[in-house]
Amino acid sequence: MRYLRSKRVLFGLLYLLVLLICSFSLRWFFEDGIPKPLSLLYENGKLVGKPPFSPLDAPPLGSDMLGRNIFFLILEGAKYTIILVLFISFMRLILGLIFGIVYAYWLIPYKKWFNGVFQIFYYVPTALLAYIMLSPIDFIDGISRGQYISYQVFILIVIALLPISVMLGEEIHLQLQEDYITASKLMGASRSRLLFKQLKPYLLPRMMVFFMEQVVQVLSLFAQIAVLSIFLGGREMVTLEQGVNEFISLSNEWSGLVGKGYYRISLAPWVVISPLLFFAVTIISCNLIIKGLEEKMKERPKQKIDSKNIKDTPHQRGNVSSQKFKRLSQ
Amino acid sequence: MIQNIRSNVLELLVTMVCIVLIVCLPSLIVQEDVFGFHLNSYIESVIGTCKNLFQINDASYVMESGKILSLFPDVFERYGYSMFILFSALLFSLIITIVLSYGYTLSSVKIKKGIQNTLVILESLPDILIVAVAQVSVIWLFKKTNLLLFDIVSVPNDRSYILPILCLSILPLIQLFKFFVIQVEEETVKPYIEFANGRGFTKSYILWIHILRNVLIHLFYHSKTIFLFLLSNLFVLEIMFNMDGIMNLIKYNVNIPEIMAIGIILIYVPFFFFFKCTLYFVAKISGMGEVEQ
Repeated sequence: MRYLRSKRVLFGLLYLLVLLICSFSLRWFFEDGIPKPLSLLYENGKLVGKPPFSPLDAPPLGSDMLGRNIFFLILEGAKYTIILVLFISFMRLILGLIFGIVYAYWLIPYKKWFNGVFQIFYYVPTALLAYIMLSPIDFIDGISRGQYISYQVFILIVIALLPISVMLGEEIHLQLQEDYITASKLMGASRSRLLFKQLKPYLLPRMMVFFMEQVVQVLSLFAQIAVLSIFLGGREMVTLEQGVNEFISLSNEWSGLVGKGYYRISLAPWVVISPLLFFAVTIISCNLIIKGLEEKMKERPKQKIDSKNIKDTPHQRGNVSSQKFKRLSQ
Repeated sequence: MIQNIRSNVLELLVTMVCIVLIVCLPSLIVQEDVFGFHLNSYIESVIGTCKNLFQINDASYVMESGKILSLFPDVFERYGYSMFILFSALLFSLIITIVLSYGYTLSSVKIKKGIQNTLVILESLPDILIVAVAQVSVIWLFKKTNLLLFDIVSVPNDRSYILPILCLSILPLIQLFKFFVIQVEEETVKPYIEFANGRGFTKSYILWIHILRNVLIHLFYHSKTIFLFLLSNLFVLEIMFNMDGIMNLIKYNVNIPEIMAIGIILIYVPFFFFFKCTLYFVAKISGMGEVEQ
């Protein structure tokens, strides 16, 4: 609750909340969640336009190839996007934490082997990994929509699990070397007591920041897989005109919206740019939340926190030891 | 030293095996159009890929247009193109970053705060948005003035260079600048800077001679992260510009594990040695001790 006093955190949370509420309440106003698509535009009985309409003809953000209003499509898709992102990041965090604790307690001796595996994640971008895993199922018939979406979510969680757990594991391992932990161990504390009594207050605030960072990463991953024409939550073939077919995203989530319009970017840039802008604003508000959380954490005099330790992925590990050294020598 | 080499070789081997294991994963989930968990076909595919990797000379790959060509020596040309774009972007963003941080150090506290806040917004922009906006604005300019500033799409005979390099350098530029800002702030409160100030050196002299050198050393320690960031942007960029680079080769041959493996290994092995060597020498020169990465 203390964190809500930060203006940045409050603003970011409010934005997400308003977006979700708008998205859910659309069903109350329109039957399908979006206004009826415009098919053709007449002026004084003369045909003046066909989809995609520009932002001037179909305010505020134009329409797509089927004449559906982009703005409402984005709002309608917001709930799927945000809930998926939150769920994926949460599962990454929880599973990563569990494996990280296992790693810190038992697997540290095999560090060299893990390092070898871990290297891959420095050379293969996550979007490429996601593409390798997600593209094969597009060609299969007879796969139910539930299977499709759960497989996609499963992959998006698993893909980042190894680097996350190793990073958290190293972090926990470093913390386990602190003096107060040694003291507690000498007095006979068990491993579970160390975890729940000594590590918990250290880990909890960091986990909040870490969760938001995962949200940012997953959001940018969503934006990236958009151009790979991977549709989260299934896709459907629709016929635009005679002989012209196009895939559309079933759930209208944002990366699907970007992906379906991408190859027409020169004809109708608003179809692509507007969902991407929403991506950008959402990521900005998440980053604001992170900044706010970090500031609030620094204010606390009892606990010294260097926000850098936990930032991004593993890379700052080198810094951790030197900072720790600094802290010890002071 | 010997132990160091041994553990590095071990690391290299483990990573190579993992690359093969990863590129074969599609056959674990899909087997003859059936979705499920096919361990047998996965093991077969891993063994097959390993065999094929040893006779890779006569491998062939699928082009973007669906044509089938032999892998060598095409792959090196594609690799060169990608790496040229990557390194020019890196160099470009590094130069601009250094110029910008020079301006940053000399500016007042108020402007510094403003820059820091803008950076939060800028670093949040997804890479796709930047590329899309760049493409759309070039097209728009072309439509308005009939002046085509850069090629917006690449075809094998007429490769585009300038726009991809510009697009690829924007996000690293922001990241690097943020990194510089943080490091410079950290560096300026250190005693040696105070001492230099006390001796009456000018701000810009201290920046160029003292701060910049130390920040660059820190930058080397983070080179891997920046490299990963560049790679993942390059992946998106190659798809959006339809460039015939190494990433598109991997993308279009997602069904042929050995080609993917070759692509990833080509990226991995040179940079593995590059990072090991630079980190070793930087550690020696700077005396900061080796950093585990």
